Amino acid sequence: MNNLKDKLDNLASNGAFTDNVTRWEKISSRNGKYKDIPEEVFPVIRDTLTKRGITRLYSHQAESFSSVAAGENIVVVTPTASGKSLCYNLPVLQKLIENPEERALYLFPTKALSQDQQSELNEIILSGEIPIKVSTYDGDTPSSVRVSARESGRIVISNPDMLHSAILPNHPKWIKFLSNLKYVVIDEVHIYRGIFGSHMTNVIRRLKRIANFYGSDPVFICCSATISNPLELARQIVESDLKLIDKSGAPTGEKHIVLYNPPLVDPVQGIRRGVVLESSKIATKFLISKIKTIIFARSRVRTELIASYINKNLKNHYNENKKIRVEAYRGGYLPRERRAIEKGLRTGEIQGVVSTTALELGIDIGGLDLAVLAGFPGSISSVWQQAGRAGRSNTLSAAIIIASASPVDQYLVKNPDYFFERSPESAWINPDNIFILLDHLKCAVFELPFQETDEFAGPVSDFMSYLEEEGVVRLSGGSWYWADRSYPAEQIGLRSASPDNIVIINTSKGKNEVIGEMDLPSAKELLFQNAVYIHRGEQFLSRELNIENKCCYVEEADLNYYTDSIVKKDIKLLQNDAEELSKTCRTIIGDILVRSQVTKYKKLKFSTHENIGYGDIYLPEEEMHTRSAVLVLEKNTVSGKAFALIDESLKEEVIGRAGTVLKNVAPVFLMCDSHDIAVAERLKDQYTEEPSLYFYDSCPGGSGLAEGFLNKFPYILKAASDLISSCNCEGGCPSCIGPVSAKGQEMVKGEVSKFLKTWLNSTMDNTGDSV
Amino acid sequence: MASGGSLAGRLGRIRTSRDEKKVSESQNNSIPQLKFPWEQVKSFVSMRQEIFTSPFTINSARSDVSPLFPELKNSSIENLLFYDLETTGLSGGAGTLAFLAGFGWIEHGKLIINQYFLHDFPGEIDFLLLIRELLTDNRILVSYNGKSFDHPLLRTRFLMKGLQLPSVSEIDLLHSSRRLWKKRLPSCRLCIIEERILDIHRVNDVPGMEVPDIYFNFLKTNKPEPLEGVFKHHLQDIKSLAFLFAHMEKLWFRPSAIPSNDKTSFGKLMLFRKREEGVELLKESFLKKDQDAGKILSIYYKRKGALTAAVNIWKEMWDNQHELFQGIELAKYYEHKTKEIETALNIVKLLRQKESTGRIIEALDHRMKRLERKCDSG
Repeated sequence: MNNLKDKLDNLASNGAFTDNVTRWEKISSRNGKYKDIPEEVFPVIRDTLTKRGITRLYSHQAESFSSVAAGENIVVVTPTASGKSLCYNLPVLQKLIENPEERALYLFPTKALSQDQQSELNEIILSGEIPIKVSTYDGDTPSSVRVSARESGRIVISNPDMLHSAILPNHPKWIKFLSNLKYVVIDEVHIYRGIFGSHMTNVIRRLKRIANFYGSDPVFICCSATISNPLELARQIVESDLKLIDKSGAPTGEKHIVLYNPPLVDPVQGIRRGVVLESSKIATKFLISKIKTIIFARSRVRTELIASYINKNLKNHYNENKKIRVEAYRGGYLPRERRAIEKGLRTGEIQGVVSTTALELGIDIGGLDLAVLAGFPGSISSVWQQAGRAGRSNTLSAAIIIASASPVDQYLVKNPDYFFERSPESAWINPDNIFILLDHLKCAVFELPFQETDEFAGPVSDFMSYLEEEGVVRLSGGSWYWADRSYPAEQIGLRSASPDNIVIINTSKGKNEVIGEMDLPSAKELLFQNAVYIHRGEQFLSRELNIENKCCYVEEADLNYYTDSIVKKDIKLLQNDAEELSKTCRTIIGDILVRSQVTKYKKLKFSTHENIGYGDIYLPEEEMHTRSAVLVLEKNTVSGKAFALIDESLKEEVIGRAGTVLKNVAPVFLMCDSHDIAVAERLKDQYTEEPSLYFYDSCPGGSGLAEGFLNKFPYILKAASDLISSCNCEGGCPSCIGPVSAKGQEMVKGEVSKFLKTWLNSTMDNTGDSV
Repeated sequence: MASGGSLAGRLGRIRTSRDEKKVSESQNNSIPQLKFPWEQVKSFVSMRQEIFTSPFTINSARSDVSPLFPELKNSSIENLLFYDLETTGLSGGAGTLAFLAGFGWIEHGKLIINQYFLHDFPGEIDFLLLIRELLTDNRILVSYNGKSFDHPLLRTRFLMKGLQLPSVSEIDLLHSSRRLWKKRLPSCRLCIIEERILDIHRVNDVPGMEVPDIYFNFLKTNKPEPLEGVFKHHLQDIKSLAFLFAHMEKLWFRPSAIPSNDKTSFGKLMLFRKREEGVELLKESFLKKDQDAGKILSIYYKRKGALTAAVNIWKEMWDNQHELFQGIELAKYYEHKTKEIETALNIVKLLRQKESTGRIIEALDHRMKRLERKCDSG
């Protein structure tokens, strides 16, 4: 480990590096807070823990134990590697031994995590004599094992998708399990935000409904990463009161967090060195010294790029026998490819891994020393989770966060206090998204008829009459019955708005091999004909995107460019749900119709990213109903007056740039990806007849982001204003309002800045809120 | 959370946008009444009974119970309950229910079939109770694919109504049909068995796939006419079950009536059920050069210790065709029993030349080496 210390010292004395460091935070090690293992814990569990070297508990583990034992719902919020799984395993095992009929359901957001948990539990159970049968029930479980899981699994490990599509619709087969269901563990609850979270609430509503039918009323145990509203989120997911347990008693080793802003290459245009090359370079420095490193990249493409750059760097430096293996890891790889990489990391055969957030969740990949974050991962809690990937309890570890040119990154790297001192970001869901709700109501009525007076997110009768008009339910004798031949859960996916996945097939040299999958909207933007698609460092050229057959044929290729698509969007306000006029502006929340079309793509050269050509894309238009926040810059409000002062010729530019900046910083506060929220700027909107800004949810029906946007607007406005003022560029750059090239637009940056500041000041006056 | 439209409001909006696109189908919420002469036995359940001549020609009181169906031991044909369900969906799950259930049994030389029809969902509990009345301890259910579909579905329906499905043993004729005819029929679906085995030809039959929609249409329109086709189809299913059962029984007791292309599979099943009559059937088949019959028969002889009889079959098969089965059996015989090592080796060499599967080549090579060693040392 001194290796890492040497390297860090080395870096700290390197002026060329430290000049670009905006903050080097040393978090000192912290001693653990311990409690004795409660007396009532059965000797058989105690022995097992002892064998694993656990003779006492961290304080949060002890608190979880006593709360669950007392029948309380809890949500545990503690950092990575703080012995979180014992918070649920200990009370659950204890109780299941005490009451031999009781059962528990563990839900993990991914199959990989379930497998991990099953092997951890098996270790606990097999190393002792604990008489509890643990069964995994997921898509990979063979049908013979499924029967035994249902019949005799005391702890069933599954995921929300299986619960939704296999367990609940077939609940009579699970009667034994469900009528004795006493504990439901929901790990990584912060993952259930946005669309996934909105589905999750509804799946839990269904689970509770069926559990009640069989006479059980389970206790919920949730675990979350650090966000500002874990309790609120968990409450929204399980719709019951929970106790918050958020004081970690786990010891931590010394940790260095370094915020690094790549140097400016062109100060006038504000162009910085690219995050891909910078992080490859920095990671290589550590990897050469055999320091186990994980590099997190923000997209699948970047993952592949960074892995290939690092491998190229290493090749230049090293001969064969000193071979250091670095692999890329991301969604879209087949499960066995993933398992092989995870195993390589655990055994030490692989020293470095470049990953998307796919590896962020607790998958066991053994101890790592350094995390390099190639760009901010979109949320502060993700930063801590990713940084937490390096270093287990008592060792020195480090995380180097490299800012990209994106406005969010630039805002955070220049305002490190925001990062270290508070966490205003919160997770948003919209369980009453009408599309999602209706989908789950179909599943619910399939599972069990509704009485006319029943409730499911409110009285069901309105929804049921709607579904009756659709011809899928029937009212008879005071109850609503499912009256369709289909199996509704089959057509409803929990993770994305559209269930259609495109299968990617490699057809090179007569092959016909499936190499991955992608959802349709992404496929339209990434797999259009002639798109360059990168998979495991290999380049492929898309030959045909066949939307009807849900597949895309690709061929191996060797090109010096990659592709980037351009999307055209058209927006119409369908319904104004709520409107508010303040002296700063008018705000509207409502439903909109968005029409979008991918029309063109750019070819960008590797390394330099220079534009080397365009191509056309011919794909059908997409239509979407969603929720939007609308900010109307009305004449007699402050924002409207400030806008009116702007020179006519600049107005379009200013509103466009302002909208972009606001949209770009919003994800910091809303815990969403930058593509989850979209903006449209109107100089004169056909509905409001005023200059207007639409901030809308990219997911059909909305996932809570439009409401969240309005709620957090004062923060977002301040961040946008700060971002522009703190940017050193002259007249606009990609990191703030975007580059300005056209003549006569040198004024734009100043105008945008002035406009947002005026608006911000009045907002603060208005709310009395010192943001 | 910030203000959001009320759910009812959103519902109204998507309803409007939907209704612009399509006009919703007319609904009918009144309790459907059947117009044809079924007896309404409960408020939502009707029943009809049809009587046919029993397909069983053998005296049902006979003592010789067919070992074809060991479940019948200590019971008689009159304990059988032929049944079939028509359901609202084909993929199962808690939202799929049975709306038509039929049960047939033999009584005084007649085949009596009761069909129960569920007019609407609220009657399901009565519908299930009527079914339960029939499932008495002494009954043996006979179905086609019932073990995987109808039976679990009934169990689910009972559970959901808080009832217990009586535990009754079941004979699934799909399984027996597969044993007997899988090799020569394109599939063992009931309609194929009817056409090819029972010589029953349905006219204007309703395809099973269309059944759920016909029922849902009835619920919406209250027009029972299209259901007639479903009732007819369903009645035929149960009749066919009884006829198929009787047919299998008849052939079992009169092997001379078994068509020549079924003699092997019948013989095999008979031997499996420890009935010596199977030997004669297999011999007949083998006389007609049926290789499978030779295999089964020779293995039977070998196990019984009648090695000479087995060897004769292998030799005949080998003369006919140099196939792996007879070759290996002969090689083993020559090597271990008669010690004619060279003869064994020649056979294995011949097999080796023809073989292309890696795993088998490995085994043959192994055998060949051993034989060569023995050859040299002997």
